[in-house]
Amino acid sequence: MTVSAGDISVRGLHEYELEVLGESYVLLTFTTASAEDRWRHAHSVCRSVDALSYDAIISTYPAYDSVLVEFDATRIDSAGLSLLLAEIASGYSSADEEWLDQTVSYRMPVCFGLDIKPIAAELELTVDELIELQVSTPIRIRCRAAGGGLMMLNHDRVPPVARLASPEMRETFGGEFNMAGQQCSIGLSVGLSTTGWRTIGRTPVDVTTEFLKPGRNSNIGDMIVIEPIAPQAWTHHLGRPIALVGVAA
Amino acid sequence: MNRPRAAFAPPAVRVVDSFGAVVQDLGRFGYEHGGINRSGATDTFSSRFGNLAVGNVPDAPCIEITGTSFALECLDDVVLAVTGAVAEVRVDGGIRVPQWEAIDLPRGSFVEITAPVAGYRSYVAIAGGVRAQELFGSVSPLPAFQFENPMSAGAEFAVGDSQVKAPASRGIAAHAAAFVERLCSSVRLIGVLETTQTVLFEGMERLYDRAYVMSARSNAVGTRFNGDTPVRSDATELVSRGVPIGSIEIPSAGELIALLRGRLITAGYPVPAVIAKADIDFVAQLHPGEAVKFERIEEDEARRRLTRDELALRQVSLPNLSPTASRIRHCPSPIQPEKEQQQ
Repeated sequence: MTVSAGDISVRGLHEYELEVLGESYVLLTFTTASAEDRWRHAHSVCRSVDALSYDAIISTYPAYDSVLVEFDATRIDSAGLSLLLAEIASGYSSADEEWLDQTVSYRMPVCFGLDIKPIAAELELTVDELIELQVSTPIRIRCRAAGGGLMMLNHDRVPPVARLASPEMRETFGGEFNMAGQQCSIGLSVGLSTTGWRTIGRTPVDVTTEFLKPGRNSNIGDMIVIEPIAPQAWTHHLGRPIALVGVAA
Repeated sequence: MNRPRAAFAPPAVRVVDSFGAVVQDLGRFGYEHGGINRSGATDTFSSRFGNLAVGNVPDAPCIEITGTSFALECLDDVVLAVTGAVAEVRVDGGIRVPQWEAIDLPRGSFVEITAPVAGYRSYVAIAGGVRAQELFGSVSPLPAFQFENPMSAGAEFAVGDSQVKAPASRGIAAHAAAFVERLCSSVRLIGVLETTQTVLFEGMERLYDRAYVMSARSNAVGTRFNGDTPVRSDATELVSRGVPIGSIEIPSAGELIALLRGRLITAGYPVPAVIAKADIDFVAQLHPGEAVKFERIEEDEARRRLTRDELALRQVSLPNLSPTASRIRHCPSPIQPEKEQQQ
């Protein structure tokens, strides 16, 4: 039996959809109303899938509201994998979210600039208002990716910034503070890259080095406190490690 | 896979001629949560075949050569296999040896691989695997982190401990025949499976009834194509999520990107189709300017293609039951006639 894409949709305590992508992937996306719930559910379910240690599952990747599961299609088909995921997604509880108790907060200095003026104008804000919105509340790291870097979700008070309709190829230097929709990120890419995100600032922290550090470091769930710095302070912060400021609430 | 680190070993091979060749294995597994993308050999059928042919584990480090010639000198007795793109492989300036077979080479042998005549990427697997630096358990490049093991002219490298059995006996090239035949075919047809995000596009039929030309702006992250693409009709902002290797993105009208094993894990543009896993290796073998067409297939067909390839690779690993089976040995005697030699 082959499950058609979008066949499985559950309405209940944890609303989600299962979508087949190719013969080797299934995407589980939570559709509950709260963005916070969707993110927590996705990451907790991903941990449950990983805990199975089922060797037909090659990889899992949790993002903002979804889990991408890659599997060995010579051993199991998408229908079988979908049933497995549906059982896990329907069965987990808040006890699976204890990992969130272990998150910490970091301070990230950001020098605002680059495209912030036109973006603020699009949002009908002043530059200072947009910066104030960004720094007013810590932002949680939702997922990590090679290009996107530390990927976060902006506060509801920050209006969404339209992603570029067509991605453009441009030189990136690492550490760019990017926005697309309600998403924001501290980027990693260095060199020529193609992106639809828009940039309103940059951090002097060596994000690549931080990213590669073993052990506990800017993990998923950790909070980032944006600290605006003046251009004159760039050198002072250059190359410094990201500063731990406490245990997240 | 965590490979054991052997004690210091003397170099076994010296690179004589290279332009952009790198060391590859099958990439990084288990690190994607932390944002470390898979990377790895762009054509995994060819890289695994070569490793199995020389008796290595399938994910042993090998050399990936993209679109150019390559030459090396053996500083020790080695067994190697050349797979992937169709090219001429010559030893000591004259004798041509076959691809997709394990070749015994004595110390001092000089191996030249021409630029491809069909396909785009060649692989050189050496018994024991290439010893190279690892990052997160893999030797494969990670451009986002400026990490790679280049095979530059003059570089010397030792072999590792990845050989787990004797090299395969002669005749295993037959198990790559279907792959090579498709590589040499004038018709490039790539199987894709549609997703529910086709509803975000108009003119999806264009994906199947038009040809697309590979752009020179392609790299290990993705192969770019130019052509008359479907057009996005729904501009709803999508939240970034993990996307499969083989995803087809249509970021703007006229451009289509097939994400390969170097993809950066997430994307915020819709993915209307995914390339069948077995066909990704053929996308990896395209060269700039080459045209392809896509064909819509279903999951059963995609799984059949994948299973066929896996069975072919398993055949390479099987012991040869013929008592007269032999390997190809190159003998550097100056009086040998110009044909392959075997003992």
